[in-house]
Amino acid sequence: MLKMSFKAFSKEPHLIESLMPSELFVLDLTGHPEIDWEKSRMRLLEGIQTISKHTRKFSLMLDTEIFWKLFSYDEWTAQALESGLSQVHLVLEIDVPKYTFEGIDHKSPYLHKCLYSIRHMNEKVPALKTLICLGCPPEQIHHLGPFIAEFRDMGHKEILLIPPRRRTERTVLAYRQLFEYLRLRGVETMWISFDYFHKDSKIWDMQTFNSFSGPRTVYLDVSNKCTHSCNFCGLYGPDAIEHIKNSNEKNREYTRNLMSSTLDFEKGREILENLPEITNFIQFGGVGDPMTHPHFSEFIRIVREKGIACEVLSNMDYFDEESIIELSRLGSKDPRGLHFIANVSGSNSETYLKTRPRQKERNFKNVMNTLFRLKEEREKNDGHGVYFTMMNVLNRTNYKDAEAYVRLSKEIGADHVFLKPMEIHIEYQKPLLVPENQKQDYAYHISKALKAADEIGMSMHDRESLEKVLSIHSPKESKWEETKTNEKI
Amino acid sequence: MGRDEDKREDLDIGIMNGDVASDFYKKAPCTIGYTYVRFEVTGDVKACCISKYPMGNVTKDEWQNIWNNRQYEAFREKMKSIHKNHFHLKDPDWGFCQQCSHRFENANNHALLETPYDPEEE
Repeated sequence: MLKMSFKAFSKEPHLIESLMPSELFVLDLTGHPEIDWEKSRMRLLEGIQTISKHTRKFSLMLDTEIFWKLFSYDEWTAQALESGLSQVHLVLEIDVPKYTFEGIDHKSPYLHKCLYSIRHMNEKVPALKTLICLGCPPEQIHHLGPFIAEFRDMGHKEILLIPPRRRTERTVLAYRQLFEYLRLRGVETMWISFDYFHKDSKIWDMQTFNSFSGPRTVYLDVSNKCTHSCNFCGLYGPDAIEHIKNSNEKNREYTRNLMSSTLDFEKGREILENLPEITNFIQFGGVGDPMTHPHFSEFIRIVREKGIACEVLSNMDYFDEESIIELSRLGSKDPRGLHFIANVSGSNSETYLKTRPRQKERNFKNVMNTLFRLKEEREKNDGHGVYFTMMNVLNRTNYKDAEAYVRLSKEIGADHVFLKPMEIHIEYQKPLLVPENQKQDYAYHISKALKAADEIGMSMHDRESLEKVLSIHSPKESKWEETKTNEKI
Repeated sequence: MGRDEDKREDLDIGIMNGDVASDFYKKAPCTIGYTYVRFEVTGDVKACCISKYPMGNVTKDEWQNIWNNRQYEAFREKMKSIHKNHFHLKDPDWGFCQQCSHRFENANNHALLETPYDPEEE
């Protein structure tokens, strides 16, 4: 999402070309006291029409005065709405006059004035959604509570808070108390966050323990199905399958149902459409492979059209030519736009098949071909497309392949490589752990992989975990005794 | 805040085991409840990807109501002060949240929390 002042936009309108079709763009009309909006409204209308060519979701940031100056002209209003303007960010700087401080009740004269203004605006242009942006002097933060509760009662679903100029301890505490008040008042159906265009909004949201802001990251399980048999998987690995076969009928039935469940498409769409504006990262993963969901591309399309960065964890075996092209189109020049974490557990088919015993060589070839095609599509489109990280879960069966894996990742055009020391979730996975007598060998191969990555310039995700493994398992002269005791913790 | 939910003995947040332990994550408060949510295929809403207990289910409640409900609030409050060695989080076989896959996000949140305040005006 992007916000620009009117002046900046007039100078450089081309900056909005990078916006996705429903990505939010806010044109800030405040902060220009010298502009006479009555006179400049035609120029503004042209600007709105330009914006509408790039995104369907845009808003004007204004105060009540600017609103009346623009929207009192019916024809102008009609044209603006026709261009797709559906929302305004209404900036309300509350400055409760001192005389109402004593015995203030939530129906204070100032509140009445604000509510009247907004109601009148909603009546004047019912097609226009009003997003309230509330600001106030630091010593009046506690007055915001009743205002916000009233807006909630009026049906406003989301409001923004404009933080004070200085983030002092006192103001942060005042906002914390404000949020406590709102929780006690039972304000549940409203997203309240600090103005996400403000450079410190994340600090404000975190320091005030603002739970009303909603999640910045969403993880969505769309499908529990998978046709692969990765040995490290707690559901589809050969040890897991064996364990389930030997358990009672109730468990087997439960597992069968679990393995065949997918998220209802309408429900999934509803969740994605009702996320707060602040959500900027969605991960698709799950118990199974998300690409097995019949409407997978639809989900990606919904997310990408909102301009939200998307990450998908997949074995990459479910692509076809059509989906390669479609998903590349939904990608971005920014590697975080549409990023796949490719779960490929070997640099060659021999190691690959050791880690997924039910697969065949053609699966490995299909995955390699897919990755190659995705890189090709990116190069054809000037870097726009799908980016990926090669992920390899290291365990007893494949750790010797670590260095070759890093080199392959570079060749195949991966953005990062992720060597993940295996985590044991369940009892029957314990045989996959690297045994004691091989731990030094394990550390040796990891250090070779790290050196190779540095040599060829391959970015390693989560280097820290690998270096920890090295420091625990590589014998160092004086530290041997120390590392031995650390392992017991 | 003294609500009954705060005393839930079974607010177990799940466990992870691994060969790597990081001192930071043993004592740092967990802020994942403020910035992350996981939806499962069944519609269950979970606060963290290894959490055992759902905060609600989207087929039964509005997801926004779930995000702001008491159980979720209790989780956020509790995780701010709980030590990762706490018995609620510790499983005798597997250890505690030391290899949490959200530690990067949590670390980012910590950096935000620790950003120094502006000085009070004279």
